[in-house]
Amino acid sequence: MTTKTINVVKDFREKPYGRTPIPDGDGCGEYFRELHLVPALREYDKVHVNLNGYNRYGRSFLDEAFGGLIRESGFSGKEVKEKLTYSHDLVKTIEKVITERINAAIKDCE
Amino acid sequence: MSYGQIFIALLGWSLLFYLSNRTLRRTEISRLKDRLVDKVDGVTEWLANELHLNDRPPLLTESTHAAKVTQIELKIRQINHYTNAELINSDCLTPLRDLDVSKTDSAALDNLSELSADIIEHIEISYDNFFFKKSILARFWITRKDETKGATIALAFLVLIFYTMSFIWG
Repeated sequence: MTTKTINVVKDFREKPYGRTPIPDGDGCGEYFRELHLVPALREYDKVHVNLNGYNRYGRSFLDEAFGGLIRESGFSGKEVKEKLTYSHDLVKTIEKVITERINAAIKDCE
Repeated sequence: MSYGQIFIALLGWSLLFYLSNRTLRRTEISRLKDRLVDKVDGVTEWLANELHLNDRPPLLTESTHAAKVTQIELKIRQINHYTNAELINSDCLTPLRDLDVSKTDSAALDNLSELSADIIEHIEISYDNFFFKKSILARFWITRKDETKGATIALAFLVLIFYTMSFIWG
């Protein structure tokens, strides 16, 4: 079983921010999803996202990056829940919000 | 002074030290809890004002909001470390962090008041349950679980060594 760990701060941006490149810039959720998450989920059996190093992830970023896997990138809820894990050692509610956003996306697509 | 008197004096001083320490810790935790409640009240008041004014880019508001919620969560961690137990569960902040700040209608503002009340209620009830509803022994076990287990295992190990040595030396 192949596993990939993505460190958001080291592999993507020090301060990820916003939903889409216009008007939010290159550190947006859409870019993170399309450039890192989607390729990793297609190539590896398990993907773990390490969110340590930044404590102020906005709801828009998390919704677009993680909820967008189901809404925009064509993954099923089952696939995302089986393959994707995520963690933040210090701010646990960020993990909870990601779960909420994924569940909301599953509900929207039903 | 006899050994008995020394022992009683030591016991008395230990009890005084314990009670004084306990009072100071409880006062400090109460103060931290009150500051936490003020922070929660502050962030929801600030957000209600931002949503009402509606003149700032939503993403900027969201970014500041995320920072303030993180500060509250870190304060909860500090209180829990100070208490040496999970006095307040930070999961209560999830709905606040998950709030969509781009929505500025009156239903959203009502929801915000409700959310703030829920979080403050959770903090106060958790504090109340821990300090006033749990027995001294229950609180001691919760805050000193690891030390008690360690001390028990160490004591059992010492007793085992003592009896083993006694058996070997006959």
